[in-house]
Amino acid sequence: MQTTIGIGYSELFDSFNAGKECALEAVKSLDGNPISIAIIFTTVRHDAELFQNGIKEIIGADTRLIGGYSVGIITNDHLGYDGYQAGIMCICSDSIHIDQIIEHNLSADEYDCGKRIARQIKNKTYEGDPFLFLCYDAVDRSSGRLKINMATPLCKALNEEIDCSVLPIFGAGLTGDMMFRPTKQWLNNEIFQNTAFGVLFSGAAKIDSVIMHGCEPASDYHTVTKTKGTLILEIDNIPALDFIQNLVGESLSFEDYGFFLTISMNKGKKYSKFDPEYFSNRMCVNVNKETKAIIMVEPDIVDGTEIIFMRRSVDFDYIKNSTTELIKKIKDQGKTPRFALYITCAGRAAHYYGSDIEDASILQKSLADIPLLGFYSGVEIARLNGKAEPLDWTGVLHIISE
Amino acid sequence: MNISGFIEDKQLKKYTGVEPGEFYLLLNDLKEIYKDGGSSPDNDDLSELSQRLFMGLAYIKGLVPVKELMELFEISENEFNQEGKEAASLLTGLLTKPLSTKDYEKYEEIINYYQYRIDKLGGVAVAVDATISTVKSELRKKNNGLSLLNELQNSIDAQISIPEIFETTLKKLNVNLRMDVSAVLMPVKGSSSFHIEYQFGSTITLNTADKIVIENLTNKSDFVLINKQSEENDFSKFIKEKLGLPFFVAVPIFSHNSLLGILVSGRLKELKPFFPQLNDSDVDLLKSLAAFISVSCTNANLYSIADQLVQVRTDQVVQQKKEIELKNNELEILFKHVTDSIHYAKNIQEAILPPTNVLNALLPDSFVLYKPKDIVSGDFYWVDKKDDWVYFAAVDCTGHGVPGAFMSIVGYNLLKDILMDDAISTPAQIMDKMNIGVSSTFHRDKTVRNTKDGMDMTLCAINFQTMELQYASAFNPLYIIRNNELTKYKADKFPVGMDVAETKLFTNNLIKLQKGDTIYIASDGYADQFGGPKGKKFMVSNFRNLLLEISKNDIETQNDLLNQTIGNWKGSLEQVDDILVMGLRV
Repeated sequence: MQTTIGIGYSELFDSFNAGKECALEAVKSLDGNPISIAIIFTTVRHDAELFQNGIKEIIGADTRLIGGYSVGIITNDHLGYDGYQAGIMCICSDSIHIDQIIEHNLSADEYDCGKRIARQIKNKTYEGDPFLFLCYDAVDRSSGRLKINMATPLCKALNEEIDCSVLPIFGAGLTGDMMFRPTKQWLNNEIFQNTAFGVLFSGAAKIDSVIMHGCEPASDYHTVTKTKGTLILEIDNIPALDFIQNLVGESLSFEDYGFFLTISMNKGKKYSKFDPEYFSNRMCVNVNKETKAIIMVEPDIVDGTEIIFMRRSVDFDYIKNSTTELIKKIKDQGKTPRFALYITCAGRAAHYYGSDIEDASILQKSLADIPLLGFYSGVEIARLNGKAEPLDWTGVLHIISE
Repeated sequence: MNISGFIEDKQLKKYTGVEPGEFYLLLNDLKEIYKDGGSSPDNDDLSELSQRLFMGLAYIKGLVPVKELMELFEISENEFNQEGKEAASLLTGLLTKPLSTKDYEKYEEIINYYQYRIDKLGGVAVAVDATISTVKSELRKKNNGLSLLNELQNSIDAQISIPEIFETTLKKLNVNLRMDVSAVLMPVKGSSSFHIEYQFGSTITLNTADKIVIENLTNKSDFVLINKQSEENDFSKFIKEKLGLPFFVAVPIFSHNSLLGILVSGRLKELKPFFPQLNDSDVDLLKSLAAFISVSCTNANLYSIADQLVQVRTDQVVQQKKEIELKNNELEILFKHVTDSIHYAKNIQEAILPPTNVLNALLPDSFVLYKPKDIVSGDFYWVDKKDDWVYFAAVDCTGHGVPGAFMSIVGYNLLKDILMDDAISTPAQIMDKMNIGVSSTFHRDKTVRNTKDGMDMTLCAINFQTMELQYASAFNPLYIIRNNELTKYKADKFPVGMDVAETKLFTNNLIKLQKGDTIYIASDGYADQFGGPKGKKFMVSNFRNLLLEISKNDIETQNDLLNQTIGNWKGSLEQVDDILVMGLRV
């Protein structure tokens, strides 16, 4: 059986019917082939159980299913966010081998969860060049208050156990909306919260990726001189808020820092030409006026970290060109692209970013007929310098080929 | 970029091994050296200096062949060696010279300057990006508002009910304007308070008993805007508690000048840029939406009223149809009764007509063309015998159909009775007696005399032995064809049934017959029939000509020809009167 892919999309309000509509559209392209796995994403507005039932009614109760909530969905023909979007990718293949992975209790210890995932992977042998599509529940409201599950310790543990230059790990931190309402994850016939889950592809599957940042350097290098967890208290020995206000002026209110301020760590040569593949972006999510600190999503900016301030600049030509080049590279290597996964920061959505153009729409055109399932995420995980790295304000395209 | 003045920056490193920034610093140093002691080239000519520097660096580094450099500068090898060496000698010292404190401070100053400028420019760019983003978000919001109105216009037509209008609007409002919860509060009947009737987006179960008095949304221009800056009030507390909505806009919906309800829409959170703070532009959008809802509801009401009226009219029409059907059934039954009665009357009328065998026995070589207009006829023919005389008559009673038939019964009875009177024998006597009989039957009350109640007729009495014919006639003449000539015998110009007070008597005429004579008597039905190519009457003259024409034929054929001719003449037109023609050959 040749690998076949079906993609479905829905914006119906009713969750059960949305599941059915998605699945019906997807199975049309499958020529009746058995589904190896269905990957599904919806926004938080959908009822997880009803949606799952709708999907299962079409693809069958025994078909493997995996997925979670996202801010929005992208397919070849549709994109939407913050509404009732839902999407599905059905993969049918004998040559691409698929393993499901899930670990629970993420919020208790993200690092430990990463270790457990790594052990699962290491306990098995895989044919070909395996790679892991890993997602995790970014929202923890189990205590009644919002706590963000961190990608940094999760990735740290994975990097300690797995050589990501050999087994690439990519994926996302999932949130169903930007209010960070509780998220759900699907695994076959069950529904979970607070998990890290993934699909490990092996066999004939190959992966090629490209990182497409939505920003570029806008300052000289500076050094973070005082931190506490996710708080950056001082930069160049100046209170962080004072330092930044001196840069951006008073026209940008502190409330705006929470979205428009992005800091990056250059993991390549310091003064070489800007290459997104070496920059690890971190979004500021809030400020603390009392401590004059800025609050970051991840805690990986520590004392002594050299940072650079970034400005928002989605380079649409770069998206188009890098996608085209990636496809060409894959084909030049004699591989056949089978499907694409696109994970993009929810903040890059045109409505939030204030752009006239959706970056995903450029991608849709550039991918042409390669089946696409993409989604808007809270955090993006990609391979950077041979390691699994959490990123912000980034779009990462992965093309899976044989 | 072209910092050297003559070669692209990206090419610079290939020839000289230095980055553009370093090249710029060396250029400044070289300028100082030449200023201090050098005489050539022109100190102000940076282009020349750049060229010297470039040449010197290329000479020292030796990254590309000399030949290529000679071609680049279009100079000879001697010139290159001379100028290159000179520049190189100066540069050698420069490149190897350790930085002085003064130089270091100078470079640090330059670096700090650019570092600051880059940071400031970057900071400004971030701030400008944020401003542009905010402005674009506002524009996008307006655009979404217009799209929403357009979508609603396409999805809501007059046939949608008011609940459907609200449900559709609330759903689309949430999706298009990125609101979390939208609702409509409706007035509680008989009270000044409102309750939440419709909502979309909230997971809280509504209780219709939850009511609130809203006093500040009574005019079309009123609105409520609750965001982080707003102070809480009873209304905002109510919405927060019942819909879980902390930030919202509320506007009144008016239908004509009465308050139809309150439209509420808002967000669970304020967080730029995902959930921007609600502001005046959201108020404007909701007001537009409320106006649209108002028009839609008014249309829906009008449609509903029209629909009800149509329903009432439809019910009435259905009822009337039923009644008409009932009447039709009754009429059908009645018509059947009447038709049955008329058919029965026909049987009675046929009973008064002489049977064929009697007719043939009394008038052996004769025919009767008898074509009633309706089932029963006002015309009738009669034959009887008394002594040596055979009496026959063609009678045309007033009217046709049932009235004519009744009259014919009267006429028949009179004829039959009068003939039994021994004292009466001539046709004129008989008709005089009939005249009295008809008058006394129909004109009893002289104050309501109707001159139309009577009969036109020709009554003959023939004695085949003596070959004599007596006749009397009221209006209708008698025709005899003898030797292909038609003779018309006049009739008296008054009917049977005239007012007896006038005391007119019918004329009795005697005609001596010859063998072969053909006698014709008729009612006026044949001559009065409309038809032919122009739809005109057949006319008496044509009737006479026709009699003359057919008289050459035997008596049976004459009957056929008369029947055929009048049928063709009438065509598709209606028969206007009863038709009766009698013919007798002696």
